[in-house]
Amino acid sequence: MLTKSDLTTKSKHCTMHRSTVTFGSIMQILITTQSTTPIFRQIVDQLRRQIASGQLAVGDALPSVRQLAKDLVINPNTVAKAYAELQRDGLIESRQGRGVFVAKRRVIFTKTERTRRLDDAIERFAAEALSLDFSNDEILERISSKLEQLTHEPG
Amino acid sequence: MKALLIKEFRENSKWLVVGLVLFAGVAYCWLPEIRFTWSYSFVSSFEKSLTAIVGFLGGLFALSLGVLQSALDLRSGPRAYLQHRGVKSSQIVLAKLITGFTIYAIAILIPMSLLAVYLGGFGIQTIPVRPYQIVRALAAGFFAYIMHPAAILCLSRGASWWGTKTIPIFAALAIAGSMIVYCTVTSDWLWLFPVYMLLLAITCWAAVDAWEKLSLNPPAAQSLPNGWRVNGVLFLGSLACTLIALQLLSPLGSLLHRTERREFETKFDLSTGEPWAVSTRPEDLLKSNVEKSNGSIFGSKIQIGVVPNEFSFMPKKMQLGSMQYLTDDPDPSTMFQSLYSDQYNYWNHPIWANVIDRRGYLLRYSVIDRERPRLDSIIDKEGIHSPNSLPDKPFVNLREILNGPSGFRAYFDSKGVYALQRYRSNAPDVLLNRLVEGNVSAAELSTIPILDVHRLVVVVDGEVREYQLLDENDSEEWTTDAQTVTIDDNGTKTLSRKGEEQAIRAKLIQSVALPVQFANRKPHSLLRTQAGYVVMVDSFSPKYFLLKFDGTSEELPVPKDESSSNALANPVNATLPPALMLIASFAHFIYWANRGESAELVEWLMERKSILVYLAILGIIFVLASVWVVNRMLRKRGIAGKLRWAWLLTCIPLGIATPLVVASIYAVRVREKCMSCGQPRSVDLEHCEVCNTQWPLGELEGIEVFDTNASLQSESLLST
Amino acid sequence: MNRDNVIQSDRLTRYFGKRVVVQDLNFSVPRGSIVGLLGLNGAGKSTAIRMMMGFLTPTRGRCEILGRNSQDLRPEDRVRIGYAVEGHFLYPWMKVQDCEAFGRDTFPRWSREQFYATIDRFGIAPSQKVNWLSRGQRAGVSLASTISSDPELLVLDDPALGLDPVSRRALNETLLDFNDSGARTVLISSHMLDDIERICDRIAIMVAGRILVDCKLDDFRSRIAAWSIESSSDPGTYGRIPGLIHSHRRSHSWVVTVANPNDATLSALEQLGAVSCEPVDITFEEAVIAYLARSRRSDTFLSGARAAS
Repeated sequence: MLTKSDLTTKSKHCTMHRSTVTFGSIMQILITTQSTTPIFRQIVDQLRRQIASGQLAVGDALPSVRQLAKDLVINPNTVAKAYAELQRDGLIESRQGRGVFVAKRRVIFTKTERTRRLDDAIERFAAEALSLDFSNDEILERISSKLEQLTHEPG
Repeated sequence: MKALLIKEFRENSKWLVVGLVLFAGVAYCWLPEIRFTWSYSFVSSFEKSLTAIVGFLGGLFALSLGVLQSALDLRSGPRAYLQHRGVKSSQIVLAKLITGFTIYAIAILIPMSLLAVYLGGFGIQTIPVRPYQIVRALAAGFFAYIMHPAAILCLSRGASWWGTKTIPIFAALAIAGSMIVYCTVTSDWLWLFPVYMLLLAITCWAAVDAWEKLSLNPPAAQSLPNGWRVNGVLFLGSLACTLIALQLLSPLGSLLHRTERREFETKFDLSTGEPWAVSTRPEDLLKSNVEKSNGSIFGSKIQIGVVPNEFSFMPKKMQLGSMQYLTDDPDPSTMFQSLYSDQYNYWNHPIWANVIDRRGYLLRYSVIDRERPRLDSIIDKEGIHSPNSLPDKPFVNLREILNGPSGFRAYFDSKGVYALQRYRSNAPDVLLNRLVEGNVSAAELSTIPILDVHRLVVVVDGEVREYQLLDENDSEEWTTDAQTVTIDDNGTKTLSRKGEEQAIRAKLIQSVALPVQFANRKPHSLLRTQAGYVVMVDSFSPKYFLLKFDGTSEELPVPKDESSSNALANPVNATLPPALMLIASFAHFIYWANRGESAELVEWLMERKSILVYLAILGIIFVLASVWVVNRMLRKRGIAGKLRWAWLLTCIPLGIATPLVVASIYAVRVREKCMSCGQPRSVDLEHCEVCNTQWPLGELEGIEVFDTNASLQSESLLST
Repeated sequence: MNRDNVIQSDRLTRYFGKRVVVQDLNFSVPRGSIVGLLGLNGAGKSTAIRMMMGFLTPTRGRCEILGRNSQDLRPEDRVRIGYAVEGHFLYPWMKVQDCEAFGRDTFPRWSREQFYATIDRFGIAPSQKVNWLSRGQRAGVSLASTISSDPELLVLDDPALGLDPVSRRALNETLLDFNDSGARTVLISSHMLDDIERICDRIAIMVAGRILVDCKLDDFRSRIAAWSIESSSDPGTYGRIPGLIHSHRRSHSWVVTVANPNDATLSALEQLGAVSCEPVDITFEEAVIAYLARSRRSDTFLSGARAAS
C-alpha cells in the first residue's frame, strides 16, 4: 500500500524512488518507480482522484507538462501522455497560450461507455476489497460513507 | 593545440625531474676526479664511454617516456576523453612528440652542459679532456630519441603482442643502436644526421598514422590498412631487425683489417730466441689453452734467461701462440680514433704521462698527484713548449713506438721518427730528438736478444732501414737503469735515475728496398731477425713475410686463425638473406674485373670451402623452412593466387626475414562456415569468397519487441 | 536511412577473435528522444557504443551518426556529440576549473555558464582538485565537460555507475534539462532501471550481442505479459509457448513472461493443463530482467556461428 508522504524518502532496502510535488497547499503527486502501474497511469490516477474529490476545482491551473516533468524528474513525454488521456476523457482542457486547467465536467462518453468504465473500476476494487475478508455489507457501508464524504451527497 | 601541450607537459613534468636526476648522475660519475680513479686510461675512454652511456640511458629514457605518454591515454576512458574533442589525432600525437622531445632534450642538455662548463673551467692545463668532447654524447642522445616515437607507434598499433606489435621497437633499437655505436667509434659521424632525420620523420609519421587508425586496435579480423607508408615502415623495420638480429654487424666489424688494430704483433721469446706472433685480443688472452712464452712481459725489466749460444733466428716453422700483453691501457680497442681525444695513453709511469692529441700534439702531463694531472708541456715537431698556448707545428698521424725499452719514449709520424730524451740525468728538461727524417710509414724498435741491443727498424721512403741507436759516446750499449721513485714522509714523490741516458741519434746500418707488393700494404710489426725482417702486413688475417736482406721476400706459413673460422662457421650466418650474398658476389665480381685480383676476404673465404659448403646447405634448409612457414601464414591470412606465389618466391632472396615481413603486413583472418556452400569464409567480407553469397539475416527469436509501423503520436500538450 | 534518426546502424557486427560480440545490430535513435540501452555486462553494449562513436571498427556493417559514417568522424563532427565512457575519467592532476579551461580550449562552442551551472547542481567548487572529488562529484564534472560543448546528441556509457542517490538525481535532472523536451537527443546505457523508467522514452535491450527490444518504453510495458502457473516443473521446457521470454520459479509456481501475447499464447497456456494459470501484473524491472536472465541460461549465449538452421 502506498502511503502519502510529502517528503522524498530514500530507502536502502527497496529500489523504489519516490517523488512528490506540492502545489500550493492542495495538490500532491506521488509517483513510484518499480511499480506494476506505469508512471503515466499513476499520474492519471492521482489527478483523477484529486479532481473527483474536489481537491482540484474546476478552473484550477495545472502545472505545465515541462514544469511537472521537471519537478517529478521524469520524462516530459510521460506527463504529456497522462495529460493527453485526461484531456481525452474531458477532465482537463488546454487553453491556447495560457496553460492547462481543470475542465468543467462534461459528459463526453456514452452511457454504455460510462457503464463499461464503471464496471472496470468496480472489478478492480471488488477483487481487492473481497480479499480483505470483509462481508459484502461492510464493504457497501464503507463505500457509501466514502462517496458521501467525497461528493457531499447523502446516501 | 596549446591545451594539449599544457596537458602533456603537466602530466609528464615529473619525468623531467627523473631524467635530470638520471643524467646528472651520469655527469657526476663522469667528472674527471671520479672517473680518473676508475681507470688509468682515462682520456681515451672518457669520450667513448660517455657517449655510449648517454646513448644507452637516453634510449631507455626515451622508450619509457614514450610508453608512459601513450599507455595512459590509450585506455578506453582516457582515450575517449582526449580523442572525442575538436582536435585532430595528429595534433594529439604531435603534442606528445613535442613535449616528449623537450623533456628529453632538457634532461640531457642541462647536465651535460654543466659538465662541459666544468671541464672547460679546468682547461687542458689539468686534464686532457675538452668540453666539446661532450658533443658526441649529445649526438648519441639525439640518435637515441627515436625510441620515443617508436614506443608511441608500438603501443598504438593494431597488432597482437604475440605477433608483430613490438616490431617498431626493435627497428628503432637497430637504428639507434647502430648509429650510436658508429658515432662512438668513428670520427666521421656527421653524415648520419640527414639519414637519421629522415628515419625519425618516418617514425613520427607512422605514429601519427597509427593514432588516426586506433579504431582498428584490436584488429577486427581484417588485415592492417594497406597504406603504403605503415607497411613500408614495417617492411623496412622487419628487414632492419633481421639484419641486426642476424649479427650482421659483428661479421662486418670483423671484416675490417684487424691487424691495424694491433691485435697481432710479432715478438721474440727472449729465452729461446724464437719469434712469436702474438694476439693481443682480450678474448684470446683469457683462453686457458694458450701457449705462453717464457719471455719478457712488456713493461717491466727484461729477464735475460737462458739463451743458447747459437740459435737460429729463423726456424722453418713459426711457433705461434699468445703472450701476455699487459699494458696499462685496459681499452685495447682503440682502433677507431675519436675526433679530439688521444690515441694511446700509458699512465704506467709514476710521474709522467704522455698523451697523443689528435690535433697532432704530444701532451706531457705530470701525474705525481694521480687525481690531479697537470699539463707540463706541449710538444710539437719543433720541440718542447710551455703549456700556455698551442705551438705551430703539430705532428701528422703521431703514433707511439711501443716496443722500446722501459723509459725510452719514441714516436713516429708521417714525416719522421722522434725520441724524447734528456742529456743529463738530473736535468729536468726534456728534448725532442728527431732520429729519422723522411716519409715514414712504419717504425718499430726491435730488441735483438743475443746482442742485447735495440735497433730501430723503419719503413721510410720505400725502404726498410735499420738503424743503430747511439748515445752521446757513439756507443750502442746504452741502457736505461730502472728509474726509481721514492716517496718521502710527506707523500711527495721524487724520481731518480742512475746511469747514462738514452741514445741521441740513429745511425743507418743497412737497408732493403721494400718490394713493390708491399708498397700499399702497410707493413708493420717489424721484427729484425738474423735472416731478415719479419714483416706483418695489413690484411684480413695475419700474414707474415720474411723480407730478406737481399731484397727477396717469402711468405711464412701461419697456422690458421681458429677464432675467425669459428665465427664463420656460426650457423646464424646461414640465415643471412641470400639476396645480400648475391649483391656481395656481384660487387666482388666488379672488383675482380677492375683490379685483376680477388679481394683478400674472398681469398680467405675460399680457403675455408668446407665451411662455406656447410653454410650453403644450412642456408637452403632455412629458405625451404621459411617457404613452408610463409605458405602456412599466407593461407591463414587469406592470401592466395599470384600474390601468394609472389611471397613464396620472395623467400628465396629474403630468407627467413620473409615470415617476419608477412606477419607484419597481413593479419590473421577469422573465418566461419558459410551457410550456403559450407566453406570457410572471412567474417569481415560481405560476400563469401567461394560462393559469393551475402551473410544471411539472423532468425528472429520470437520475443522481439520493435516499434510498430504506427507513426509516433505527437504529443501536442508538450508545448504548453 | 531515416533522416530523423541521429544514430542509425545497419547490420553492425563485431568479432573479437572468433567470438561474436555484436551481431547484426539494427538500432536507431530518433532525434529528440532519450533512449536507454540495457543489457548484461558483456552483452555488447559498450562495444556497440564504441562502434557508433567511431572508436572501434566494425567487422561488418556500418553505422551512421548525425548523418555521417561513424568511421569517418572528423573533429567538427565530434564536437556535435557529447560522449562519456563509464568511469567518469578526468585528468587527476587537474582542478575543476582546469577541466573547464581544457574543454574551452578544445571545443569551438563552449558555454562556461553551462559548465558552472552543472557543477553547482552537483555541489562542486571550481577550485577543488579532481582526485579529491567523490565519485558522484567526478561524475558531475564529467557530465559538465560533456554537455558544455553544446552538443546535439549525448551518448553516455553507464553514467550512474557507483553514484550516490543525490548525484543520481542531479544526473537525471541534468539529462532532462539537456533534452529540453525533445530539443536534443540522449542515449544512455545503464543498469539503473529506476532512472531508465523515469527519464527514458525509448528503451533498447541487448542480449548476447543482439537487439531484442527497441521501442517506446510504454509500448514495451504494454506488450509484455506474465502468467503464474502452478506446476512442478518448468512450463517453458515441456510446453511450447510462443513468445516466451523467460520462466522463473516462485515458491510453488512458475512465472512465465511472454512478449506480444496473442491467442496462440493463450491456447498454448491452456494446453499446458496446469492446475492454475493466472495472469499477473509485472513491473518494468521484471519485464527487463526476463530478457536479461534469458541470456544467462541460453545455450546460444555469446556463441559465434549461428546454430545450423
